[in-house]
Amino acid sequence: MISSDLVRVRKRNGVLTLAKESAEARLRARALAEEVLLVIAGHVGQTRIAVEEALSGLESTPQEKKLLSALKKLALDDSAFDGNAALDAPSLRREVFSRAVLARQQLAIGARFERQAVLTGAAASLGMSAETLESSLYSDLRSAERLLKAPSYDAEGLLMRHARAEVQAVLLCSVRVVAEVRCASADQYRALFHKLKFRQLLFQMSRREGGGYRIEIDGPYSLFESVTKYGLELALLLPALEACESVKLSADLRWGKKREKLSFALDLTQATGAEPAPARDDVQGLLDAFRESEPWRAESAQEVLELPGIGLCVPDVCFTHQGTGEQVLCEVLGFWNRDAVWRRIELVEKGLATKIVFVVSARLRVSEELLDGAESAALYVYKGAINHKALQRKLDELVASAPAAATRRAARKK
Amino acid sequence: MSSNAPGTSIELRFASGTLELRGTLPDQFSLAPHAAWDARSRCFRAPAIAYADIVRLLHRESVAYDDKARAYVELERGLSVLREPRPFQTEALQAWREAKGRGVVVLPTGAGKSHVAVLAIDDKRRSSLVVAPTLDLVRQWYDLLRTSFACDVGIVGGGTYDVQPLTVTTYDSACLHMDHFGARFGLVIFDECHHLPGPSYALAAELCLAPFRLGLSATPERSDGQDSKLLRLVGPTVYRKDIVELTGPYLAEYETVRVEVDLSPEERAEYELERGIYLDFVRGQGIRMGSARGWNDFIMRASRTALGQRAMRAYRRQRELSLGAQAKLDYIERLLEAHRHEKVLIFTQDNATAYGISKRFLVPIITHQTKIKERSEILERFSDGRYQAIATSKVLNEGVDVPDASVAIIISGSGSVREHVQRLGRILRRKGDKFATLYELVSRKTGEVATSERRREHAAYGGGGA
Repeated sequence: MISSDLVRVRKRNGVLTLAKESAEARLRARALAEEVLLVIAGHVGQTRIAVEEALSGLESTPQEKKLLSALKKLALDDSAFDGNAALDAPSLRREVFSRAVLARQQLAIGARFERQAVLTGAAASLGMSAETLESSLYSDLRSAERLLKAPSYDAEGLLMRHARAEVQAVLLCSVRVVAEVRCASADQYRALFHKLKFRQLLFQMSRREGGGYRIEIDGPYSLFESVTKYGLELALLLPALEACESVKLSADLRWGKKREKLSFALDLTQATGAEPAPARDDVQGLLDAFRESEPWRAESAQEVLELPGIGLCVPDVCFTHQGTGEQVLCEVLGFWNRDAVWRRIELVEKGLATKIVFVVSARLRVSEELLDGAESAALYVYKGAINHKALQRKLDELVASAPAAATRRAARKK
Repeated sequence: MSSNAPGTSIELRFASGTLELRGTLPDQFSLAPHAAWDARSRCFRAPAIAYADIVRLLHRESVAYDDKARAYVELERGLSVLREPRPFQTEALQAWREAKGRGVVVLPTGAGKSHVAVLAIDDKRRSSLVVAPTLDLVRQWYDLLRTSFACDVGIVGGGTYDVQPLTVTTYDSACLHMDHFGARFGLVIFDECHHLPGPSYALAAELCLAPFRLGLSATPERSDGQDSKLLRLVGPTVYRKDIVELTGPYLAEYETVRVEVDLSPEERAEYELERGIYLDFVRGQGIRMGSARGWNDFIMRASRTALGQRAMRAYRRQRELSLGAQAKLDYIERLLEAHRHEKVLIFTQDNATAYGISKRFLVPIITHQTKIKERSEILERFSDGRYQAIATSKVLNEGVDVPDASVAIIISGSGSVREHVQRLGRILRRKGDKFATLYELVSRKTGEVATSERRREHAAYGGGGA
């Protein structure tokens, strides 16, 4: 990552944009990236300070200064340095400095401190030459680390790293991000919300006309003050956002030392374009089995079900009854995460109103009875593989269960 | 849980440096201004710093609450070593107590601020967090707390993450981790608390729920005026004594000696050339370096053109020449020899100069790159006399306890009064009939003379400031 002072930006009317590159500037950037990588590759085995000095010899125009500094930073970050000095430098220093104290304290009147004599004496006791001792005295400093390996990417790869780093550096100064997101699959949504949770960010989401969601993202303390504390987390969220099918980002910034209020917008849709990952085998199996079946037909679900403050779930499949048009969603939880089942049960208990079946392996040791009285949700627990007929029965029961569940609740009240 | 109105109960939880309040509120009861409704998570939310106010409000209004936020404990035992406090330390503790355990104590460096903190921890007997500016200070607090309370002490910072009921951390680590461990301490002590009002550090104080707070500083005032924020983040200044009030009985007598040296003819020629390039650019651009925006203007304009970049290089070179003049280095040798039976601290403005001094005079060096183990060893050897001098740039400026040091040599520094006073403070801790001397080496007829005059604007140097 690079710091925000290395980003090439334009500011106009309260809006910050990344500076656009002309074709000529793009060529020049490529040339600079090539030079940076060449210099680093040519200094394998040398010290960090030698590499940095060589890099400082690269020339650029004042306009290219930030770009060059950023390219150097990224390429050095991606280089491998050996942090271990061969000699125990602190021991060498201890020997030399101790001898220097004694030499000073024993100085006769009018005598001068003899530096070389101290080094020679210390070197002899350590079994090395004075030159080796002197050159090794600070060999454990970062500046003395030796370059083991240059980055493995080419100039184009470095420029791609740089493009992402510039956006992340802007997001470092963000106090709030709004992402208009559309994902190609439930797994993509899950990965995004998993990252949001992992980064301890808070969000509010709303469905967009035409599909997808508008997600406002910031952190717990943002309620009281616009702070850049969550900027790093928002910057680290970028790869998860880039993985979505389409993303339009807008961010409120506090830019520079003066924390100038600016806005920033970016359409990441064009940057992706990758083929969506195929659905998981168990989900694909359901889609295939119910693609043309009667009365329930299946298609990939496009919804995220959220109860603010409680949690959310992302269904994989949407079943539609061909006779009544009724829809029941389905999330396949499989056999990995028992806690996830309890979280779904909590969602239902706290008011999740959408009809949904959670498909869970018996290996998670949960009982279907856990959601027995629920009006809108059911658990289908399978042994081995998902039984499509059994799942269909669950769908039928759920559609028919609403009045029955109401009756059961009324009976319990009496 | 508090007793109270039937049918209403609020649950308090610590969540990432904030308090979440969920449950049924009684009619006509308001959490304002301490908390606000958070639609994102459907609960009331408050900054963790509001914990004490909210709990007091709930008590006052007899609202039942389940406190799942507070994660701090009562310390099993108090001080294991009782050191008689000096009268002004007792007065400081008393003043802090009277301010409900929230406030700033201002005492000069070397007067024993940390002992006031130890007394405060013993007084409150709650899990306590000490926040200090540097790893050296963290190490020092660690030693002090372990000796004083005879228990395990946690450290967060410098690659270590170990949270204990008594823990020491740096301001930087507090910023990074307070949203995780901010509920685990009932008392937080901000050492050198003038650092706290910066935007990032201030947030660390907001994200901590500790009801008791103590700030320690010799120089709480900030040139940006942000010290007023200490009132909210820590509390009011509850006790204050200045250097001149304590010199004699509690601090060593001292003198400050300013030594002006000449640049060599070669250095002078290069200095004048480079300074000329720098000044030509500044004048040509109409930049007024004396104004508040002067430096920023210079940086901005220098970055735009090749001429500007040359001016920036010239500025750096002429500064380098004045700060690291050969005559200063020669003078260090004389001072090291003259004070060869005393403990000497050598301060520089930058690490490169400090390393240069270490290499040339074969004296140990402490910078941010020095690992904790070696720092401890250097300070230990300095303390027991196996080392005579330590070179450093800024990491020993503040708080680090080197009671034996009686000579400080300032090779170079910024124009900051605080930095200069802190450096003087390193040699003022009283020990026997110690007499301390601070040498300030300044290159004659260079820009450094004005910098030196700026930083001496303090009563400790006979200057005008306080």
